[in-house]
Amino acid sequence: MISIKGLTVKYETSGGIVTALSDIDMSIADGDIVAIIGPSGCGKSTLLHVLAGIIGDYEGQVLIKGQPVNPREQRIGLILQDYGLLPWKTVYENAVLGLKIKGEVIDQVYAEYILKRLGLADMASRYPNQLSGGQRQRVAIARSFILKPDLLLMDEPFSALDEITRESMQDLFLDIWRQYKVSTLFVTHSIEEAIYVGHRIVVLTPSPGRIQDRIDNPLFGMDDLRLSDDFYHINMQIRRMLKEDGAHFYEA
Amino acid sequence: MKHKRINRLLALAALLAAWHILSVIWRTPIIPSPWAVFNVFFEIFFSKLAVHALYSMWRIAAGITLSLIIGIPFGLCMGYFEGFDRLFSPVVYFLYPIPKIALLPVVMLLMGLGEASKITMIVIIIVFQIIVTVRDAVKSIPKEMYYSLISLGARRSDIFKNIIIPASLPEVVTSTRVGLGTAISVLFFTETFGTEYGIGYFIMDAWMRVNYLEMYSGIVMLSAIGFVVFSAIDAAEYRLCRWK
Repeated sequence: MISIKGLTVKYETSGGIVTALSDIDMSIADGDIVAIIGPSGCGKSTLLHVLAGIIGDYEGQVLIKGQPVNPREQRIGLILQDYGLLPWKTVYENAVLGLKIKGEVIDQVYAEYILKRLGLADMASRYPNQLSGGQRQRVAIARSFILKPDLLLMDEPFSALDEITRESMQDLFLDIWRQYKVSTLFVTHSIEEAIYVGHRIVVLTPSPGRIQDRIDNPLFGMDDLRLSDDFYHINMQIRRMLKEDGAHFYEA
Repeated sequence: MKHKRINRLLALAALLAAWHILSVIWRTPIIPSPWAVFNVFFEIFFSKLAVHALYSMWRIAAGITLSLIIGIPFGLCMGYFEGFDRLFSPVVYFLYPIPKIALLPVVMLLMGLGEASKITMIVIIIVFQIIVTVRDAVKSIPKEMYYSLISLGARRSDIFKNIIIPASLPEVVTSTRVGLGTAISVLFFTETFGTEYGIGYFIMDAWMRVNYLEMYSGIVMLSAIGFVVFSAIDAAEYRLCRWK
């Protein structure tokens, strides 16, 4: 269970203090995937960085399993759009990096099982620059799952991939996720992706990011998503929200 | 590997051919033919050249090693710690452009005429470029790279070990390579004073004795030293930066 109460994040720039997130309340139940969607610059990544322990300067309360965020105590899997892997480490070394940093014994059988599950077994001794974008992202996913995380944070993980690869990565992710049911926060700018991977969808407003609405998504993980009427319905609903808010934004 | 060897032989052959052509055109003892030089080279290799070459190589190795020992930690810290950089960058910028060779008399007075002053000269000339390259290498690491480690609960020592040092290693190799060329030319200059050993001394001495064949043998030896040391750095790069 992850609970966030009254989270406000401000940071200083040369032009003064900017409020990135304002009064965010939300919770992620165990085994839940929450998709966060919002216009660019709405503080989606800031929210994720707070949960990852990268930003420590915030107001409000953020608890992971009842404890304040501390990446040394908790197990946090972070999957970024890019740069998440260390180019000087092989696929295997990258995949077990989390356990190594935590100073834990590496369960080789489990690590190899996850690598195999993600189709990386033959590439264990390669370096990231010898891999395609999709393969690299699979290594990042492997790293997170090998860590057996309390919380999985994904920051637009598939948006740099081509469409076909992206769809198969979404499926692969949901597939392995169903096996381990890790609480997940999934930041995306694609409405379609949010509908496909999120149990619940949280829509943020433009800067400063506030929660505009929450949608319980009945279509989570459904096959042939685009053929359903509901898909069209929810898609339009989110689209309208994102637009509506833009209108408010200009009026104000 | 085989390919590389053939390339090196071709490069050597081209250089020798150019040299030969020059010596034929000018026909003066100042540009002897390469074959005459190589004759002398092998004749005096063990009796004279080898010991001079060993002295020079030891000075180069000591100078570079010391520069790396001083330069790498400084560069890493200046790249990573903002305050450290603000404090030391101006110092580096003031000292870097000073023509250090002008300080040779000062260094000789302070450190004596022996090995210490020669190695010091090499160090004060190449340490600055190592500091600046390493610092900039650390600064250009994308911050996303730190994010994934921080979220795994990494300590500062983990970050240095897993990101900062490996990320700057290729730049260290490059700056060593650039520094080496400088080091050899500085060395040549310092070896013309206060020593009777070293390839710089040998070349100047042969020149004074108007023995052009020996002088050229010394020059050939100097470029052979350069070749050996550059190859050693290539080999180190291949081992250390296999991921590139």
